[in-house]
Amino acid sequence: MGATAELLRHDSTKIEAAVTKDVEQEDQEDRLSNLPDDILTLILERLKLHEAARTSILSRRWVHLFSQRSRIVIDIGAFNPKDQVSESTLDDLAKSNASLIQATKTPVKVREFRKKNKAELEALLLIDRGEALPLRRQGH
Amino acid sequence: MAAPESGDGNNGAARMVTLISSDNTRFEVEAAAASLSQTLQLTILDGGGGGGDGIPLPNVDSATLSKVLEYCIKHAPAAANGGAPNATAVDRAELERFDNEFVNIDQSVLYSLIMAAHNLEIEGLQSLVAKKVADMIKGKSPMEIRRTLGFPDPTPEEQAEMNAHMLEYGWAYE
Repeated sequence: MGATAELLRHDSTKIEAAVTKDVEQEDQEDRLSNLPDDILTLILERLKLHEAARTSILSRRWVHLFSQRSRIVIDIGAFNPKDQVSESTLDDLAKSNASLIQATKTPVKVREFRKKNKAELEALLLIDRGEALPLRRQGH
Repeated sequence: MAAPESGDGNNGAARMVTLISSDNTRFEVEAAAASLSQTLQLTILDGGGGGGDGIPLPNVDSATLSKVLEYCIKHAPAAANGGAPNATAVDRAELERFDNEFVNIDQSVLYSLIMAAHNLEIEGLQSLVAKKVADMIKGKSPMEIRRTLGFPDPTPEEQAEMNAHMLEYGWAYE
């Protein structure tokens, strides 16, 4: 009997803690979701393309925000094979090139889906040339 | 409130203005500090906010406003120097230290702050908070991002959507 009461008490505190945590989390999410697109875009624009792309998992709204970036800068350095600063095989190079092409296509694809003017899209797609240099050196 | 002579030529003693938060708290600050807000600057230039009048800010509560003003007061001297081209390295380092410390706060406060900075058009504060939130997202996995931002754990359907997303956006996770 004593043990049961103990167990019950234990369970109820656990549930209470779980509920509080849930409320807290939802509250926070609500606050973030309450921010207008302008502000969320401001935050996204401070992230590199691949980091910003990851926020698309949050909700459809973030997919939309990601695709609305006014300027897409592809940092080629971010696609270089990891741990291989000086020497990279042809395989590594092919892999990072494939990723780069994918990365270039994704935002454009989402935008095309939204029936935007294609010429405008291409004009928006900028490649950061400064970052392109290391890859070129590796490719000899 | 260190109030160095601004040397603006506009006025001798620092002009003060009163701002009134949504919950009716009155804040008296130097016009130079409040003018970091592009929105307020116009009103202040028109001579508003002085005397017993005060400028009502129906969208900003007192907790947020006091935080916003803390930022403005600290940044006003540098802003008065036109972005402080002649600020010493020590001054700049001190402002940077202040900024880092300043955004080391609860997420809910961060969101209220960025909203207020947006409404009041305080560019520096807006970018400071945006950068802080971006830093919270950087280098994290999808689950970590959700948790950090306070999103509840995904339902099975959401999980399936996340998996599909990660397949499509494979390049973002390498």
